Amino acid sequence: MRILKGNIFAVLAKIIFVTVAMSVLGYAMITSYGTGDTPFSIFFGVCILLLAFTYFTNISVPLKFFAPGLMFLAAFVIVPVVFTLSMSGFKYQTGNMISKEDAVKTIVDQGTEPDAEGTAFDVVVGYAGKNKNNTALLSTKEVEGSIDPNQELIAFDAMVGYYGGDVNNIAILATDSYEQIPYAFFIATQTQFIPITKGQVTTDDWGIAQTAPNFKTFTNAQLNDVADKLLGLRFQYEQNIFIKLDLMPIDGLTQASLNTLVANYDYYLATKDKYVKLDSKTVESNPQGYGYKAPGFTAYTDAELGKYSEKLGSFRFKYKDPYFLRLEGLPTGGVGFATVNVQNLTYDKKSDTVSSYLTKATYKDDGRGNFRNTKDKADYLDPGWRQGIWFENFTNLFTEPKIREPLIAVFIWTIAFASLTVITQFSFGLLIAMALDKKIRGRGVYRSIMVLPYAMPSIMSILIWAGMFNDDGAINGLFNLNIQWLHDPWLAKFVVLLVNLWLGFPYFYLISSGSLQAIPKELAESASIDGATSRQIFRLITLPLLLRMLTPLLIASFAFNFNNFNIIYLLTGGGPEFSFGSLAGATDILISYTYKLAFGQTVQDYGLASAISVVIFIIVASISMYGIKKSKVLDDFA
Amino acid sequence: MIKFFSWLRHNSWRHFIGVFFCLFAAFPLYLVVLSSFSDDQSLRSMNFLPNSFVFDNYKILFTDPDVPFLTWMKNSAIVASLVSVFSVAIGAASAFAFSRLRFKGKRAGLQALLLIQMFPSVLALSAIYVIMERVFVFAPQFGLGTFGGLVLVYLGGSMGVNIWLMKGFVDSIPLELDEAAKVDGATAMQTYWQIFLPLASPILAVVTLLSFIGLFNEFIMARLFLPEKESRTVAVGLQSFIGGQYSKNWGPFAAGSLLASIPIIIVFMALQRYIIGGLTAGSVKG
Repeated sequence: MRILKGNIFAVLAKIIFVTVAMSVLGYAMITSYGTGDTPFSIFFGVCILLLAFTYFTNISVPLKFFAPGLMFLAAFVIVPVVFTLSMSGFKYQTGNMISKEDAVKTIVDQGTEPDAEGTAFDVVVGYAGKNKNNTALLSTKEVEGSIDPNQELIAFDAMVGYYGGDVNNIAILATDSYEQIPYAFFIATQTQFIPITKGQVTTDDWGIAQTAPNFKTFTNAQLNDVADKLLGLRFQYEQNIFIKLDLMPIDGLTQASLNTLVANYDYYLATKDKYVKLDSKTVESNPQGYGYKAPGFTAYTDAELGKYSEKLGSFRFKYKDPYFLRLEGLPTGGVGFATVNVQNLTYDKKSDTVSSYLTKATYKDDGRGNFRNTKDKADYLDPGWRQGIWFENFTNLFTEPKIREPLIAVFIWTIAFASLTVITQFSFGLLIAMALDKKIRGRGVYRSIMVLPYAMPSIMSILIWAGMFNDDGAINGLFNLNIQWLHDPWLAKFVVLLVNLWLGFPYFYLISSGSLQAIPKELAESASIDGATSRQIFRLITLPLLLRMLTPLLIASFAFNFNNFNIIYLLTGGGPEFSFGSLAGATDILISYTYKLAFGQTVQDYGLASAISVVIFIIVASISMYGIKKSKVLDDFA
Repeated sequence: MIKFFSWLRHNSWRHFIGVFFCLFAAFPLYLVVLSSFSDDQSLRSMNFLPNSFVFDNYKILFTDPDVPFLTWMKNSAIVASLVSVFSVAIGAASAFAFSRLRFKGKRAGLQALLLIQMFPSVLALSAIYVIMERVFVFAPQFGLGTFGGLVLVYLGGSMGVNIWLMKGFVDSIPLELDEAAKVDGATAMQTYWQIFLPLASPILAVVTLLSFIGLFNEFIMARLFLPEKESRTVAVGLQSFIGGQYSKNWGPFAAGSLLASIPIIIVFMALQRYIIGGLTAGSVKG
């Protein structure tokens, strides 16, 4: 057995290490399986097997070195790449983010409608019988109050009008000529009772108030408009006591009298499958009339309410079929609120359709991730689900004008940006390298200053440049200009290139100066003996040799800048946008545009973003592979 | 006098270019230093010469609760050091195998690794986002929005680059010692632990520092993963602090970006020799 060989401590350490790693992975496998994420638990399982076979058998020595790194690469590089590839085959965007199963569930859950009258009850939540799980509602319904027959008639003279300048706020200005109540004059609206002093009113010959602050008497025409409902109105007096008009007003004047409201309540017990009216006499109610205790019903305590809160939110209590009762929010202070609803949308698994109870419409799976009305193509149900659409995201890149046009502009700029960046960085870098190729005084100082942009964290320097080119930035301030650098498409492009030149020229200076030294001096010397000018030497000898040496690096730089997300995102954010509200902007390169597509503020389209990502990868990979071939970097390891 | 003219003819253009590009390189940095010590918040009235010298902007960074600069720096330091140490520790083994062992599929493996290095993680961003969202369901401490999750994602993302970089460095270590060990009957594992690691430790330290610099510079993932103000890294924190309002927050921002950059610049300058050596191996700093 190989396992027994070697230093005992090393073997022990290995066993402990691998076992700990395996148990962590095992724990992850079990929990992920527990939450239903099978692909993840399979991945963890494979990792465990890999570790076990690599370290406890001797199948492959190199694998012992690769296994840990391989696991990380697989999890965070290879899997995401494969995931990106597969996402590009789906309609996967805002509104179509979840699985069909979840979408159906959400549609049905949300597919309820309140009844036409909007019936609602005040309810106390508890349980029926002895089983606390048998959740029940004791619902209280107020039935029309009646006038107390024993009330002695208290009547006033009243002017009918409106209060507070709002014609709809009907009010009476009443005069208590017989001193039946503490107030000689008052205004009553449907919600307010306002006592008034004698000084505030003007009275007529009989002492009846005619005007008062904020009160205006109706004209006859205005009275006509409200005549229908006037006698039914209740004006505020006190709790449970209100004022009603006894007669239709004549020229605004009428008689009004006090009425006492005696509320009557009906009580119902609703459980999952029962809805029964209770005998009012057996129900104990609080002063507001809410029933809270009845034979066979016990209210939940606050602690029990907390315990059942999750279940209560979507619990359906029986009402008259097909309607049911549902709590609107959780009860506060013991009393809740329940509404009458009907299940409007139902899903039929066999035919894979959703039908509406109220409109009788049928919604069919349209094969594009939504249930769509069979009669009205514009009507579909939300949410949809992510639907496999094969290569449609790719073909859309070419056929859908809304996608294609910005994409073409972005693509052209991406190429231009990457190549111009490489050209400017390389040519200026080379120029400096040639200037400093001779041992002149101060070369070291020049060199260390010029390396600064390269040494500085690029995030910081890009943000600094962004601030300098801001409308109120340092560039405008120093040179006393008033140029909107980042709001003009061409200026913004120029700024991006300039900043990128600043970021990158030191790199090309460093590598060019290294390569210049690698070119044998004899070549230039013999050429100059043969009478070549220094320009000819550069054009015919130095440059071709340099280019041959540096081509792989130029290609790598091109590939890097092709995806140089940071500079675009931090400097201009891709802007200025092509037209108001368009996603893409004049300085957007493919990668920043893709980022906006996938993580946009309003709409997110993972499917399309992934498709573009795949296209980018193919481009970058081919450029890079070409560069690798050129550099022959792999030849040493054949 | 003649000597001077001859100098002018031969060397003046070199100095002209040197001075010009030094000015270009130093220009924004000079302005940042200047405005970090300025008490004038208005960029409009900026001058080439300093008009004041105060530490107000630095004070804001350390006292204003809206700009938890020290927390940001600490977050960056923790995340970057954790990731760089672990990724080098894990990647060193792979680099050793690629550099020293002979096995089937080595060329294909290297090729794949190179391709991965060329594949920027921004592309897989939406996928990583969705994956980490799902990880959050069963492992809340490693999912989206956590330090743990960010560290894991970084570890995976930096693995390819670091293995490649270390392999390049390791190739330059002479083979004689491990061949001698092999003759003495050492296994590959023993060679790795007892010969290779002690020899390669300076290289591993350099790669760790390089990796640290790279991570310090990372922005997109950090922004996506750690949206809370207190958990931001310094790059994300400063970006969100400035948030387009350069005219308003420029002074403290200048001070903050200087403070954040100086340690990196120092490390970079100290490692210059290695970095420039690594440059020609095809790595591009990002």
